[in-house]
Amino acid sequence: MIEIITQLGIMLLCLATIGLHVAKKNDTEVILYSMQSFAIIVLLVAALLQNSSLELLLIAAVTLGVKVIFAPIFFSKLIRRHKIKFESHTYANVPETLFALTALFLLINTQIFAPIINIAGDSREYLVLALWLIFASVLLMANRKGALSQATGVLSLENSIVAFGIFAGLEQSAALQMGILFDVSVWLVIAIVMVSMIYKHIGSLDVTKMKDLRG
Amino acid sequence: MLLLAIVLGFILAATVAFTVKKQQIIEVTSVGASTFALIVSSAIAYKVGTTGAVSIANTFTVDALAALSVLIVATVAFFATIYAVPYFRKESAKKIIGPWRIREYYALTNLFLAAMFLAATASNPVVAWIFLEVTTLSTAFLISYYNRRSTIEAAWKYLIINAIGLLLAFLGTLLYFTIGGSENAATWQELVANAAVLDPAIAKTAFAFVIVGYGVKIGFAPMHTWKPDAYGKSPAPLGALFSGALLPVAFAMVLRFKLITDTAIGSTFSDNLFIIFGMMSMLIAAFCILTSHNYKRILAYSSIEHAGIMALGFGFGGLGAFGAVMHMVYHSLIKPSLFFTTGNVLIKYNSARIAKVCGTMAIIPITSILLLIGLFAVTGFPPFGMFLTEASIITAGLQTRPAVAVIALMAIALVFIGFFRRVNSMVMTAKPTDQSIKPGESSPWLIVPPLLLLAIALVASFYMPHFLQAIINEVALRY
Repeated sequence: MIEIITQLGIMLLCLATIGLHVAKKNDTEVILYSMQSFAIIVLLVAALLQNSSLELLLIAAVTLGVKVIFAPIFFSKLIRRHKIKFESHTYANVPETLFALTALFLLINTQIFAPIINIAGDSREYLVLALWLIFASVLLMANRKGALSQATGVLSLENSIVAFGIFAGLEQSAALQMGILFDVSVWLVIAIVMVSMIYKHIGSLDVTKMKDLRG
Repeated sequence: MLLLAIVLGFILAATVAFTVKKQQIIEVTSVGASTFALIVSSAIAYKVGTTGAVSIANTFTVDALAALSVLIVATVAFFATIYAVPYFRKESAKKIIGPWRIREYYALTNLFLAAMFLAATASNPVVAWIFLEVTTLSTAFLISYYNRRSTIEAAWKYLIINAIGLLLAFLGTLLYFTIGGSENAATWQELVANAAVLDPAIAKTAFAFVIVGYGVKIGFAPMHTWKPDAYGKSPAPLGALFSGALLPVAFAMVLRFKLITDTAIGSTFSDNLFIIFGMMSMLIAAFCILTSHNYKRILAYSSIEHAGIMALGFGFGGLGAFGAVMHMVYHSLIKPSLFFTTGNVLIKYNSARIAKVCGTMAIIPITSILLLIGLFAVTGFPPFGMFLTEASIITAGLQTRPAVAVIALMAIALVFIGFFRRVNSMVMTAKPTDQSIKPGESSPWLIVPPLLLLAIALVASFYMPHFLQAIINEVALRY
């Protein structure tokens, strides 16, 4: 049962991350981020079933509130307010992006990352995927021209690191995880306000149009 | 308890700024909080320097490195706050900012200061990480402070790059917990004590993530790109806090991880990384100083260069490490003074572009003299202490890695040339033709903070109190 839930979680996580790379609409990106965060909750539930820990239940509940409910609502409001449906352009096209994601996966399976992957012991395959998700999120931020997409990329990176922590058995205490979630929530609010300010001043969320920092 | 009192003082000052409208009350509370922090931090540092580390319920520990960081933060915070009062009054009088902006500055800066104190003293690396992240969150809106296209661009760059850096640092931090889980090794001390069981390959990977991640906050090249923009666009007192206070706090985090890594695998790996990042920072900063046309950006590049010098010192070890710790202290005294003097120039000339600033010696002579003294101090001229610290670092380098030391020396020379050329064109030139720039200092209170900081830096070059010397020696020996 736990194994099935974990597999479901990691599958959702990977699908959402790949989806974030190919999404063309901001709305789709927000839904995919929400799905990715939900996958984290699924993984937390699997860990909860394994450890019967009330602390994990609390963390899963707060994660649900912050990442699956609160964040998408705020992002969607922002998209509607500024009518910014199509602003998630990329530097590389879809085939190039998918090729880069595959290359990253192959790189992670080389000996270079073996010491990290071996931390997990029995669930090495999951850690390979978690590590790939981390690199895929970094690629997402580097490849996207939209400010909203970059913010989603940062949040996706945070999700990936949480997944890595779960699979590597390196979860922190509940108090610390709440502290981290608090930071993420505040970051989210600041990012949303900042994205709004960018749109107000530049009339677009395309970061390549921000060229005022010269000299 | 004393440490918590400092933090509560800053939180109180932030609350007052958020809730009270009267500017004078906000200013008095903020100055009071930073004065209290300076007095208490000195007392804490004295205690640590004479009797050893102080622990608060296992959650916060003030060892030598934390005591040094806390004292540095408190000193810079005190001078930045007393400078901020006349600075923002002048900006307000010129209608550059309104009353809400002033409240915003004091509220967010006090939160920023509280977060720095907590990050510097947290016993647990994850708690320290959380508070260092708070420093980013509390200052993002201070970079977009003037609400222009360029300031928002700088703030966005700052927010994204720092978020990525801190997340990578968090990943590195998590890897250190493979030592024995977060229950068995939760504090810095426990991690060092159990470091021998850390897998060497994981130790290397973890330290690489940490130095890259926190290196963003420090401003090591090539992760420095947010720094010139953020320094260039933020108010002068914030630039002083970034350079003089935040840099040492972030540096201290990397040093703590260095100790764990060195205990696990020896110091060669971390030393090499310090030298690589140190050299890159020095060289890139030197060339950027030569080509930059904005004096606030030059100060940012100078901070990157000095972060590089400190990294080189720790990388060389021995005398170099001692020089690096002293360098950190002198840098935190001198660089804020330069931010304040250039702040005075900005108030008078309304531009940070060097081409638009000329003849400052005729217009604001005291500021200009302080700027020149600051220039010589920051580029390592005697009698200022940076001369000795740079000499110690280079001497240590000549013994172990002569080629690196020679290149570093050339970078220091380049920085001086670049700095002098730029400052000279601002100070020693003809009066501006613009009649709206009237001769005379904007306010005597804008002169006092940089003057005092330079005076302290000069005195500290010859005399260091016994307790402070003990702290510096301990940090240099340990890291």
